[in-house]
Amino acid sequence: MKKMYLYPLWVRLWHWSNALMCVILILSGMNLHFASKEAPLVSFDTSILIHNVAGVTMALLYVVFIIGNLVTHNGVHYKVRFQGLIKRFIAQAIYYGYGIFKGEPHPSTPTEDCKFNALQQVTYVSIMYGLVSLLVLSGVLLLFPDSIPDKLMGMGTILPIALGHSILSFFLALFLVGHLYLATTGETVLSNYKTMVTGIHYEPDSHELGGTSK
Amino acid sequence: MSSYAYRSVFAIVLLAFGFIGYVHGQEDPGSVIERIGIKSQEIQGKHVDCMRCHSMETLGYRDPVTGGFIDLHVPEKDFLDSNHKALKCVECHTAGFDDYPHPEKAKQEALYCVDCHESNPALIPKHFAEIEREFKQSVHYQRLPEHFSCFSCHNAHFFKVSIKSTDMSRFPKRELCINCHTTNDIGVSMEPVRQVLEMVEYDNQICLNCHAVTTRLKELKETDIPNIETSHKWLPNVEMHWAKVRCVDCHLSKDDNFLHDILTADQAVKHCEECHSANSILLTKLYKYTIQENRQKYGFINSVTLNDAYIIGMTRNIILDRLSFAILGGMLLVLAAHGFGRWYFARRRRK
Repeated sequence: MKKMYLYPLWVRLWHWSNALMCVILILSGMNLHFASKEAPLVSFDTSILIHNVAGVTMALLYVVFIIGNLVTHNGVHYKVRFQGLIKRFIAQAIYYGYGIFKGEPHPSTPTEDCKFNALQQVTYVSIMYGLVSLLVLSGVLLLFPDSIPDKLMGMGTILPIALGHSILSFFLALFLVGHLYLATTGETVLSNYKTMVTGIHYEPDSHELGGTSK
Repeated sequence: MSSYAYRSVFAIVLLAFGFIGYVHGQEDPGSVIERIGIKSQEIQGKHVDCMRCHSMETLGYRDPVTGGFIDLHVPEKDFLDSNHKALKCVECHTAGFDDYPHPEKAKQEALYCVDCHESNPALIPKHFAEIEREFKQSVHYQRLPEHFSCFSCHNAHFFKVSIKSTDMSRFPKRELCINCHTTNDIGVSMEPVRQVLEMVEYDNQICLNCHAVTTRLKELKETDIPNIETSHKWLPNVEMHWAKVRCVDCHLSKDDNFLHDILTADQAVKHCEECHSANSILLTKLYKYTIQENRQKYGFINSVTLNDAYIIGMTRNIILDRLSFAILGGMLLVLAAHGFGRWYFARRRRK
């Protein structure tokens, strides 16, 4: 079993803080979106406060993530290697759709220079540099609405931003559900979760491949 | 000095004392105004005779028939702030109030706003004919015609229109904020936000004068009308709505243009999105206003987290909501099936 230190402390702290903020924001956001007088999860006013505090925290965490990726080795995992990407992507999709049921080995092996498989890399780059940046931006604009004009193309500007913010957060929620599930597809159901706690990934030797819990 | 001269001086002194005594006994209008506290130049010479009595807070009598207290006090400060401040009392009260004590028949005078407003060409743009038509369609007039007149809601002594416009029809109902916040677009000067809240309070007080007083409602209608708090229990943040939205913004007919066709409770607006997300420009303005208010209240940094600028229903869209539930449900089903498949085939492999 090969032992690799893939997740430095700051990445793990960032990851779990970010995950916590995502969960809080999704729950409080749903409470605001589906506002109702009948037995709300928490009161409407409290939901606004929670959402604002968690939103600002997540925006700051996003800044930490960007700076961290710029100044540390972690950024290298988000640099997409386009050569053979489609082939690797399809191989990974076939593994999740078919090979995993037969107990086949993972088509890609994490290394200290590329810890993500093709599917993870494309998804994480799209989510972290695309979706989350737009989500943070729309959230910041909703906190500072005086920085945007009242009207754009004959309609008010807050509605499309708020609607966009909700739609993006819905996709983030979908990602979170998918992410939580795919994290169980490691060597054992909990091995990837343990890796995100300890930072250490154990890669089985070739004769050990073909885990039983996948 | 001759005796003639002494007699002349004595006569002049006597006349002077006599004149001072006369003036003192007469109480010149200036001293009356000082005594009853009326300082405005506008009231001097116009109402002073009437205000000599009617500015007294305790002026009134008990109606021998109904037993109710008839309040005859006219608060001069409110009157001078009203739209009718330029009128002399006797311009409206023409039934012999020039004389004192007022003749008995004068007390039976029946005033009706439209009598003046219809006949005065200067007041035609105020749309009193249309207001009268709408009032007669309202739930108040339809259900209790004998109890309702203009004066049931509006006291002519301190009535003032909230919106300073020459043409009220240009202000669409239910777009309260736009009435003032974009007034530049329709050529009227911008009103400060604070005045909007005062306007809401003033307008709502007209309704609350009866609807918040159970005994008053019982006088009008023998059946019990539900308490205003009970009937608005369904409304989230009810006190905030009452402080920031006029009653008429929800309780007006859709065909109403002049704020007088009041609906029955079951016909009034009950869907939040009718106001909050139907008009995206109104929504933007309301949202920005709330943020700015919070910034003033909490300061720049604190307002980022403590602001409560969220408009209920803003992001609600039935199609998107259903679609998102369908996608999420579908995804959970696929993942559950995938997970089950992994467990099942792993178990088979172990066997």
